[in-house]
Amino acid sequence: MFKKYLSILLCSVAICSLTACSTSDDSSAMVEDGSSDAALGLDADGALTVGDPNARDGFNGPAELQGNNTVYFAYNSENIQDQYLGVMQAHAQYLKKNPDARVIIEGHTDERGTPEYNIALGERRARSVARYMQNLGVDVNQLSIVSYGEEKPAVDGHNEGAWSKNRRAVLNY
Amino acid sequence: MLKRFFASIAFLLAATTANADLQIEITGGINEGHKIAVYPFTQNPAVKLDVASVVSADLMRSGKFSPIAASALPQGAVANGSVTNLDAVAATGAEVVVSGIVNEVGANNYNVEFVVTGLQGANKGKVLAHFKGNSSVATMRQAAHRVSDRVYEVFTGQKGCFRTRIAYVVYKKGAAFPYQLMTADYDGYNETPVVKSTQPVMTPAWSPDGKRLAYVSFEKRTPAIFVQDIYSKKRTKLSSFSGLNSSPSWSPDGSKIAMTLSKDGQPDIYYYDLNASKFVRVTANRAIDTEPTWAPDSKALYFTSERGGKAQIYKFDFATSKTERVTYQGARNLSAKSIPGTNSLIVITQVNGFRVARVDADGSIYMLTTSSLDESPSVAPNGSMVIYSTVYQGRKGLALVSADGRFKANLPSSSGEISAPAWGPLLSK
Repeated sequence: MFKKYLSILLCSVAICSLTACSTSDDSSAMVEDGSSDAALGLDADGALTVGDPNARDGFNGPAELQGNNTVYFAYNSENIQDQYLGVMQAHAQYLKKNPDARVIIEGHTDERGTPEYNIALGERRARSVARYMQNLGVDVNQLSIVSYGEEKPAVDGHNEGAWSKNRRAVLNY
Repeated sequence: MLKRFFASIAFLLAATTANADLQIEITGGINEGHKIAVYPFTQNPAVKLDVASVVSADLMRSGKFSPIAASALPQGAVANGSVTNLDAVAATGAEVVVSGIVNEVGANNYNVEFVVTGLQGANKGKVLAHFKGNSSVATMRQAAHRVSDRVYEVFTGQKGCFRTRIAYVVYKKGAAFPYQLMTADYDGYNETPVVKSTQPVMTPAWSPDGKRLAYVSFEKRTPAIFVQDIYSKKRTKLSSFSGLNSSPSWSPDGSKIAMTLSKDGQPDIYYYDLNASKFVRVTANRAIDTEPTWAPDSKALYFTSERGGKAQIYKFDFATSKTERVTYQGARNLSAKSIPGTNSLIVITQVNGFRVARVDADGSIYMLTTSSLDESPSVAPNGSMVIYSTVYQGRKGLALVSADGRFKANLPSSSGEISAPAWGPLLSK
């Protein structure tokens, strides 16, 4: 009995520290004085350009997991439905076999509500998936999460057909 | 691109009967405001901008005025900025007439001078305002907005905000840097890009001096909050904790930037004290707390919380350190923004979809829009208008509604999807 609660407690603590392992930038929690960009890259319009235009936005993981890396959610929910357990089990297996592999769990929402609220909801979905994978035995150091809220829809459109495809967590590497 | 559609509102007033095919959806009762006659100014031909049309558009958007269409104004009643046939203009039922001139006083130096004359009752024939100022051709739009500010102030006793700027995010699918943070005049002219990114940019928030924007950037694939000087383009990374770095909001007194961080386990409200150079935690509740915004006196924070179940608005008072719930009606309430000069809030409320609404001090809620996918409201600094993001004709774009709900317009864009509008501060005297 006690053991069960202890393991839940440990899992909860681990989830809290989950995102602490996610970025190498964690030590820069303080404000940096001065610009973080040495030489400003301004374009012809005088705008600062940031980000890597050569980075691909697609799936960067092993071929056998491609196409099987999305968990969908019901409206306003972060509960994981039974039909998606297999997705997480497949990734958990891969991660346990490959201790150097790191998975990024992206949380997404449909467009309803507000962008900032949806960032928080997306994080809840990603944490939900991460928690489940930890329960499957994946090391917390291999898991990190990010939420894009409604900012990166998979399907454009303003109806339930599109919304249901955008309420998702995506496992990427 | 945005300015073309904003400009169409101005043209609508000047040419309503001449061109009925304009793609502007004016959905609100514009005929409910003060009827006003704004005559085309007598302008030096070198000045191509129709100052009166800018003024009419400004006044109409505030929701407080119904400018008579230029084509419906009695001809020959105004000459060289003066009213020559008072009775003819008074017969339109307008409360006042605005007449003016733009004449050259030096090389690329023009005198913009106008008079506001009363038309009805005891004010008939009375000069209620007479102003003049200098402008070059390049700054003529600002001069026109200044005329609007003065007319607005004479009539309402409140400062006009027609010389303010807005910030917003444009998403241009297929571009190398598709997420673009822009600033523009509040009517969409003089669009100036600030930063362009390969990854999403969110929640631009103005500093009260109008020189900097705080915003969230996913350029490193995780969210961080930056503060950027919009002129030099130099920036500082404010916050890149693990988890969320979200929803920045600058206090009106300039001393603090509130934000949402989840580094301590779940999304909570924090602020960065710019004078003390430190982060301070405001909420520590297991539910989602997010979307912090400031009361006009900088002494309280409104925020969205699910601590009571579904999302509602709460208020944290710095003096008492107490948190109280503010909204009780509607399935959910999100994104509270104070209306300056009042005890009311603008919110996004969930009633048959998500709509812009006003919550008054007694808790009563008044819907301002009839659309269902509204978000990101931002209130003009004089409290008269609200700009927000919505879906119109299948695309994401901006819309305006006056705070009393009278004037409504959609502002669709042909180039990209537009979101996250933020109304800049009142700077001009």
